[in-house]
Amino acid sequence: MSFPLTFWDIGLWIAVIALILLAKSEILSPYYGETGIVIEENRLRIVALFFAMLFMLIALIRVYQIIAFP
Amino acid sequence: MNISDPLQLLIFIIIVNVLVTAVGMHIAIMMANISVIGITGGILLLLGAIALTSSILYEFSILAYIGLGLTLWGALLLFIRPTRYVKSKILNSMTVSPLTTIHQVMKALNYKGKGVYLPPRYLKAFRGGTIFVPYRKEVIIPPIEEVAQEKVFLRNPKGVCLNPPGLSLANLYEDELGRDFTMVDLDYLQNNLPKLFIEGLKIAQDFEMGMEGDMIRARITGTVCGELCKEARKTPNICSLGCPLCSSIAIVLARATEKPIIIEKTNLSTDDKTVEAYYRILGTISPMGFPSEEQGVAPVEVSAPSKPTERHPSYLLPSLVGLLLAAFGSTILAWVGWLTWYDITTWSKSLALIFFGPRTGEAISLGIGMKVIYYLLIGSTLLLSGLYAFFRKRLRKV
Repeated sequence: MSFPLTFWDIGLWIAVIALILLAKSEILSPYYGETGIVIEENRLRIVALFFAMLFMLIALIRVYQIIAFP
Repeated sequence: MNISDPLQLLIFIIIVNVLVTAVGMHIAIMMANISVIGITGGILLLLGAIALTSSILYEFSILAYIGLGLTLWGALLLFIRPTRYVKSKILNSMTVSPLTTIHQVMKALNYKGKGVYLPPRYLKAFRGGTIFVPYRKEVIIPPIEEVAQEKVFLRNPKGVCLNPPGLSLANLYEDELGRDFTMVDLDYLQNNLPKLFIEGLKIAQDFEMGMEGDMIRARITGTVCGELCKEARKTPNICSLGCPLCSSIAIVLARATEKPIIIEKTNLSTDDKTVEAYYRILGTISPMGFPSEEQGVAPVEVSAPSKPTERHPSYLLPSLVGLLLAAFGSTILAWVGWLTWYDITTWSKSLALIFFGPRTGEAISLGIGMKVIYYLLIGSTLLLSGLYAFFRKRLRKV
């Protein structure tokens, strides 16, 4: 009985989520004239940035592994 | 059961997340019902938790992906649900009557002067605000000691002191920006009010503020107060006091410049979407003396007070989205570059073979015949779209 996903599987999932959220937060931005949407877009953007940063961190770990343990 | 094929894995992740995103966003945006969104978010969270637990019990990776997706979007739905909102029609209907009532009272009492927004040094509370309306049809600035008595009707000069219609709105601006406007300068307002109006409060689709001598022009495009402005303008001279929006900007200017402000004129575009308001900064007044009428209305050189301009860190958020998309693209392009370099130096491959050659059996093919050229295109697209998002606002300002 263990969690079936590895660290790298979750990294890929985070990458997809981050891209979806980043694109979504940009499309819903009031700067495109979308001022009538009633969700908290700032919070959506913060979550998108959080996932993007997380993925960048995972990518850095991967890069480090490739360089340190070729 | 585990998904071993990278293609299945990738497609599965995308389908699950796009579907849950679409449903979640549709509920959040279209229904705009806070209780429904809350319930939906809670249900998604619960289902996600059940799926995650089941995936651990049965070691089933598909359930794990479903669980992660549902949990994320459930939590996100609860996190981004809207605050309570009011339809602009209701807001306008509620605001027009008190405005016209004030005007009727002023007219009945025969007060004809133009409203002067007084700076905070006249007041006991810095978050307060007072508009002085002279009895005669002229611009007069009352002495501080008269206003400080907090009387409504002043005798010398004859006039009336009222709470401006936009006082609460101006205080809301301060709360949102987290700054006391008496501690900022006009540069700060020029830099931060557009962000507040467009992104923070969504009052307008665009906001510009410019200075010409002692005049300040505020241009508010696509404002929710357009209809209110149109209704209010049916009452003559009401703009000398100002609607809540124009009045709030006048209060903000009075606080930042520490000088009295009058609303010189306002224009409404024919499509009722753009409001242009012109504010005049009145001359410096001595704290004790009573300025003559000439002193009051004489144009003066406006120099921005020498206070430091600071921006809230959240100002960087929209730029970060573009930067991160560009970073994703750069990462992929860097990886493509490294792969190309490796293939050339180690295997002496030609560029055509590297970019267009089949990668069957290698992890990068993802089981769907992915070639290096595809990664190059994906990376370039992400990089360019990120850069476009980053520079878009700056280009618009130019």
